[in-house]
Amino acid sequence: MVTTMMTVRLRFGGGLGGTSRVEVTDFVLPEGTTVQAALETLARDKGDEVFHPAVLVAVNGRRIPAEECAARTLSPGDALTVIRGLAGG
Amino acid sequence: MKQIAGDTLFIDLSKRISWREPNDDLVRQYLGARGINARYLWELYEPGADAFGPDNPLIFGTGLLTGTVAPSSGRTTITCLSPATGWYLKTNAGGHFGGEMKYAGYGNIVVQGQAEEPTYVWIDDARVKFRDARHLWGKDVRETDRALKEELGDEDIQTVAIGPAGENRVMFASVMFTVYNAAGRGGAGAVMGSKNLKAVAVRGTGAVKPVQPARFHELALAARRSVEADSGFEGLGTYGTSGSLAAVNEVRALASYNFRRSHVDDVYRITGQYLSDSGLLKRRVACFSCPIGCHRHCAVGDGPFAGSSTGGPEFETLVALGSGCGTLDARAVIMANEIANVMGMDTISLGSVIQWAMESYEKGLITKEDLDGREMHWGDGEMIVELARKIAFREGFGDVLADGVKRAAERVGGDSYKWAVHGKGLEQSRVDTRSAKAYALAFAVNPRGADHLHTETFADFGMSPEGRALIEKITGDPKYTAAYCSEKRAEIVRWHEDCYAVTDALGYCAFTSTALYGVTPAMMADIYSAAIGIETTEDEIMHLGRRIVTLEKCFNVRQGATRADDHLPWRLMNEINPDRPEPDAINSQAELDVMLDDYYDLHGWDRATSWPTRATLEAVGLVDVGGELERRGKLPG
Amino acid sequence: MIDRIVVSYPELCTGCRQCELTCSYVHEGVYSPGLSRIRLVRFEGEGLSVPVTCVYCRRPYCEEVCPTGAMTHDPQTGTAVVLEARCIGCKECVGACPIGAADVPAAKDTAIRCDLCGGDPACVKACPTGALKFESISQATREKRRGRVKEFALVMDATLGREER
Repeated sequence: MVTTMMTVRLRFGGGLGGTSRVEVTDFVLPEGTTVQAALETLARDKGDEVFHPAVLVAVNGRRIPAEECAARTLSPGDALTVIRGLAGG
Repeated sequence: MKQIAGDTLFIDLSKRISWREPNDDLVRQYLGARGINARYLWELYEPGADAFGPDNPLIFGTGLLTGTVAPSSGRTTITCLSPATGWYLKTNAGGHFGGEMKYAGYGNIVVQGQAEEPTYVWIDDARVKFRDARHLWGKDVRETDRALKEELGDEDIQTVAIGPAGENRVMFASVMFTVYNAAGRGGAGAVMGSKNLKAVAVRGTGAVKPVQPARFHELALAARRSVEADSGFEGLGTYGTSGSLAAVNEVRALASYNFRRSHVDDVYRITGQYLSDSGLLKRRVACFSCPIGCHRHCAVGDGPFAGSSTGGPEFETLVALGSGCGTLDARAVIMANEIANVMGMDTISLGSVIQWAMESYEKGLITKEDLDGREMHWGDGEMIVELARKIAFREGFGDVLADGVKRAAERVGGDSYKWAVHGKGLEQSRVDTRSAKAYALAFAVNPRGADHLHTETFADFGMSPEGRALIEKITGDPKYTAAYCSEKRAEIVRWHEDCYAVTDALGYCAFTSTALYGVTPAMMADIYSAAIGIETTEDEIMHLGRRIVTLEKCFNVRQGATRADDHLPWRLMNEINPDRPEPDAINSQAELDVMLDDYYDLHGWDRATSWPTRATLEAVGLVDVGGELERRGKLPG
Repeated sequence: MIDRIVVSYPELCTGCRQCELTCSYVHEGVYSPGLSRIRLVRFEGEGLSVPVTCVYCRRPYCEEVCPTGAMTHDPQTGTAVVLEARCIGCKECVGACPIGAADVPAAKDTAIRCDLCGGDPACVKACPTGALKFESISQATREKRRGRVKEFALVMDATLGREER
C-alpha cells in the first residue's frame, strides 16, 4: 500500500530546538496527519520540548489548544507553527 | 502608614509655592499612585479648562509599595486631561524616579498652575525649590538629565524631563523618567511643556518602612519567587518585550503596513532574539526593584544608523516603527527610538502617524511638495528617522503629524480617516484586535483611548499555561482561551481592569500580574495589609480597583463621553486583512455591540449611554461623584 | 584571613537595586539604598550599573585612620565590625577608602561597611542575574584565566599539526 504524502510548511523555532529564529521548512507527512501526530514526528527529531505547555502551536495563524491537536487534521500547504510563546507588550 | 505611603506634595507653578498633606485616607480609599491621582484629578479639574492651561493639573503618583523590595514595584503614574484626546489620561513609567520620590517622603506630587518662564523643580527631601530652566529649554532629555546632575552636584539624583517635543506641544510628547523610561501615551509631555516645566529632579535620603516589616518582607520574597516561577519569566528577561514579536506574528496579530497586514513572512530581524544574536543589544536594564529586567540598551556600530545608542527598543516600538512602516531593519528602529526617547515622544503614536503618512502618500493624498520635496515609501528607514526629528520640532510636514493621526487625517481630508488607526483620538497599540477579541473590547472601553495599558489581556492569546488557567478560572471553561472568540470577553476584561488598577496603584509592574501571573490579587491584598497594617481581603482590594476604574469612567462621563466613544479604528471595524481572511477576523460594530452590552451590564452601567448608574456608584463607594454627575445631568434615567 | 568576598560582575548587573534594598533591610530594618553597604554606581544615559562594596583590603586604610577604633574587624573571622558606640561619624574612613565602600549615610550618625552578613551575604542571594558572587577573588581569577585560555588552547591543540604517522 502506498501512503500518499503531503507537504506542510513547518514554522519552527523561536527558542525551541536551540534556534531563536523562526525557521520555515517543508515538512513532508502522510496525508490526513493530525496536528498531534505531526508534533510526535517532530519530537523525534527536536525532542520533547515540543510538548512544553508554553509552546505555541498554530495552523495557518490560528492557535490550536493542546486538547484539540488530536482532532485537527492537516491539509497540504498548511502552515504549522511550533514555537516558544513569550510575554510582554 | 506615612513611612510607606508618603505625603502628597502640592506644587503651584504660578505662585511658586509648595505644601504637603498626609495621604492616609486616600490610601485606604484609593490605594496609591493611579488611584489617588484619579481622585485628585476628579476634584481639581474643572470641566472646560484648557488642557494647556494653568487649570489642568499634572499629577504624579508612585506606588504604595514603591521604595520597598517587593518585586517590580517601582512604577509611577502621571494623570491629567489629555490634550490629544480631550479625555482622561493616566500614563505610567518605570525607571527609578518613583523610588527616589518615595525616599524624599512623597507618594504623590500635584503640579498646578503655569510657570512664567521655563522652570524646573528641585525636590531635595523636604526642601522644594523652583529653579530657572531657561538654559535647559531646548535640550534633549538625556542632555537635561546630565546637566541637572552636574548643576546639582549629585550623580544619584533622579529626574523626569521633557524634551523639545514636549516644549513644542507635540500631541504625543512623553515625560521621560530616568532618561529612557517613557510615560508615553496621550501627550502628558505636552501638558508639562505648556506649564513651562522642563523637569523635576529629586533626591531622597529617607527610608521606607511598612507597618509590619517582617511580614511584609516575607510576602515580598514570596511574590518574587512566584514571579520567577512563571513560565514566561526567563524569556521576558532574556529577550525583553521584543521577544514576543515572533509569537504574535505567528498568530497573525502583528500590525504591519498600517494594519493592512498582520503577518510578515520572516520577522526575525526585528525581534528581541535578533537584537541579542546580532550584538545590537549591549545590556539588559531593570527598573527599580525588578528581578525580571526586561528593558534593553542597544547601540548601532555600523551602517547608516551608526552611533545610535539608546534604551529600548520595546515590542511596540519595533512594530510601530518597524513592521508597521514596512521595514524590518532593527538599526533604523533603534535610531528612530533614540530620537523619540531624547526628544521625548511616544513611539507608538510616532510610528502610527508615520505609517498613516506613508499610506496617504501611496494613495496620493500627500505629495512630495507636502514633504518638502522628499519622497516617501514604505520601509524607508532614513525617512522614518528624518520625520521623527521634524515632528519633534514641528518642522514642515512634521507640524501636521505632530498633532496626532486623528487631527492629521482631518486636515488632509479625503478618505485618510479610514486609515487613521486610533480610538478616542489615541493611536492604537500594535495589536491587531481583529485577531484578539478581548483586546478589542479592552481597547474600545479604555478611557484614555485604544490601547493595552488599561487592561493588558495577554492571556487572550492563550500562549502561556498560566494565562490559560486564568481565563479558565474567570470564565469557567478553557474553550474561551481562544483569541478569536468574542464570548465572555466582558468577564475577562473586567477581571483584568480591576487587577490592573490595583497593580498600578500599588506600583507593581503589569508584567508581574497580567503578562506573567506571579502576583495575584490575593497576594496584593496580603502585602497591602502588611504595608499599612490594616487587614484587607482579595475581594476588598479588587473592590478598590473597581472604584478606581469607575472613577476614571466618571471623569470621562463628566467630560461628555457616551457609548459612541467606545469604538475602535475605522480600518479594524471595516476591513479584513488578507493574512486573516476568515469572516470573524474583523471588529464589526455588531460584534462590538454585543461585547459592549455584556460589559456595561456586568459593570452596572447603562447600555444606551455607557454611564454608571446611581446604584452602581453607591455600591462602589462613589456617592459624592454620583451627586455631581446628577447635577450635571449625567446619571442615567 | 578573609578569603571570600562579594565579587561583582558588572556586565550582568541590570541596576535593579534588589541588593541595596535587601542589605538595608537586613541591617537597618528599613528600605533605603542610602543605608545599604553595597551601592550601585549608575550611568543612566548608558544603561550601565556597577555594584561596589568592600573588597576587604589586606591593609584596610579605613581601620588605620579611625581615631576611636570604631572601624575594626572581628579577630576570629576578619569580617568588618563598626562599634557604633565608639563611632563619632568623623568620616575619616569615608575619605580613606580608595573605592568608596565606606560611608556615613545622611540618615545615620555612624559609619557602615559590608560585614559579609556573617558569611552568607544577603545581597548575593538577592541578585537576580548572578552579578554578585560570594567567592574568593583569587579563585575567580584562576577560573577567568582558565576560561579564557581554554577558548584558544584547544583550538591550538587541534591545529598544532600533530600528524599521525
